[in-house]
Amino acid sequence: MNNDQIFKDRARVLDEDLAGRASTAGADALLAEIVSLERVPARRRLLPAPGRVLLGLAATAAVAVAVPVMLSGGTVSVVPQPGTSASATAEPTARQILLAAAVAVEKAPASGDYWRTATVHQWMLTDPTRSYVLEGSRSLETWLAKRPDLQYWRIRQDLGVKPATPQDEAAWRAAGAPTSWRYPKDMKTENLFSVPSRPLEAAAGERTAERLYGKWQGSAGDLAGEDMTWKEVRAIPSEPDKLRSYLEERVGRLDLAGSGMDVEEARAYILLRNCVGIISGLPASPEVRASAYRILASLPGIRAEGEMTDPLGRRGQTLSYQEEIEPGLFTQVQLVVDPSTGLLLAEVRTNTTKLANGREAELRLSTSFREIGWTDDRPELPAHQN
Amino acid sequence: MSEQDDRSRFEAVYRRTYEQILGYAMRRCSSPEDAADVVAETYVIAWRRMTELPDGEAGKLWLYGVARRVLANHRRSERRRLTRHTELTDEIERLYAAPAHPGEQDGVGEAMDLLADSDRELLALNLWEGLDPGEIATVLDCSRNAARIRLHRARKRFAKALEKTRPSVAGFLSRPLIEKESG
Repeated sequence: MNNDQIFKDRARVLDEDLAGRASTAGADALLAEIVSLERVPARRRLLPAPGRVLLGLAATAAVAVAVPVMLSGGTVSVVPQPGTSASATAEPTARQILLAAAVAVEKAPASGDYWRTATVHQWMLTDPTRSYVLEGSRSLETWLAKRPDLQYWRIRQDLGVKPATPQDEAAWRAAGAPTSWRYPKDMKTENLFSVPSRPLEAAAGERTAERLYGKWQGSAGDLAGEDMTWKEVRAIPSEPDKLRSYLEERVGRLDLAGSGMDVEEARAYILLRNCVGIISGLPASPEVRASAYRILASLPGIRAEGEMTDPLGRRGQTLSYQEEIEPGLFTQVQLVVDPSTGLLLAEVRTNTTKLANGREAELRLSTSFREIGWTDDRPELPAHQN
Repeated sequence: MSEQDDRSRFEAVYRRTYEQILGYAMRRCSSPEDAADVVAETYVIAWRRMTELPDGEAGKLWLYGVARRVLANHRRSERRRLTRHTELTDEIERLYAAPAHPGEQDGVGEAMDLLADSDRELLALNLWEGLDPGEIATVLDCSRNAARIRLHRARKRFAKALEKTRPSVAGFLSRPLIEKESG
């Protein structure tokens, strides 16, 4: 017997075992699932002229949320649609939601003493025995002072750890209702969460304020990780196509070869994240924020999922897209938007894992935005300050 | 191209290449779950990159190339699942459970383990998938000549490995496998 034949004989299946496999129930089900998936960014999809987007929209505008319609001169206004139109059951599309948000956010206050963002970050992980799911929360407020005589502040609080769902709570009680969890260093997590290095405590922590100095002085936050000064933020163009060129120029400067991702796709993804970054935290003008929504509305791959309650219990319209975390590795991201204010309510990533008893459990990672915008308020400083 | 055209084209490619990609995944993965994932992910990528998918035979080789990268990146994890493909996993499980083809304690597995991944991959593409050096060159994105040379070297190293793990084949006839084992 020659060596080729020896190697051949080691094949786990032979071609004849596979004959006819292309039309089994499994093959059919997979095909049906795949063609229902959102297709990803075709390359070099150009931003349609805003007028064209809106014209297309006006034609299909019978939805129950406030939708922008085209007025003469290409400006936009909100026209509340009756909830009982002929197509009352039609869900708004992603584009309609984003354009409504764009119109609404344009009406937000354009200045104040502080640019304030207040978020609640929540993450889930299993307990060390993988018997139930825990959820931890932390709040964070950032106060960026526009006036040089005011101070920058960051206020944080650990909000504690608790069983994620009633089902998890039952399992937690059955396990003796522990209030502290110690994790083995080498615990397997499928990269879905990081193993806490110190024991995890159920109790909430103190609210602590930190005055920001150094690089924070004069900072207006960051865009895609790059620090921005107030002047730089003011210089961001507000016309949708100019904003898009500005962002594409920034993205174009990044060296993406070697990221393992297709460069075009990586660029499209960073552009999308830049828009989310502008909407969720940058003290840019309402017009810039509105344009960021309009660019998002023009991107392929964003899909409307209907109304949803965010992790803080607020109703909003959900948009989702797929994130390629590394080549071939995807997660679904949901953005919950309040179309009436144009504010991003939350960003949610959901993964699933199998618990020790075989139950499939959701592991959610989310950031909920309680405040994004200008204020003349002052931070409520706790007694304890760093 | 309309959405409908894309679908029909994708379905045609899927039906035409499915058995081969399934075979490739099964022969390269040790568990039915992994094999099902590789098949599913390969076609999800193909669906997403339809514009790059060449027509005809070249399309098949392009899919092997994708499947190969999926396999290389493959780390089992729930979060990467874009599709549920549970029925597919069940079917593959039954195929895995089917009566095994020859392959006992004859040193062949050990010889294959001695090979570098790249050598094993070349031999598998050639002998399991039946691709010729030109086709392998397309899948691996190298020149035809390079594919031929690498395949030749892989063959030689496999022969060497077999000599090591199966001394009898090399002519050291019937030396008892267990020597002086104390009772």
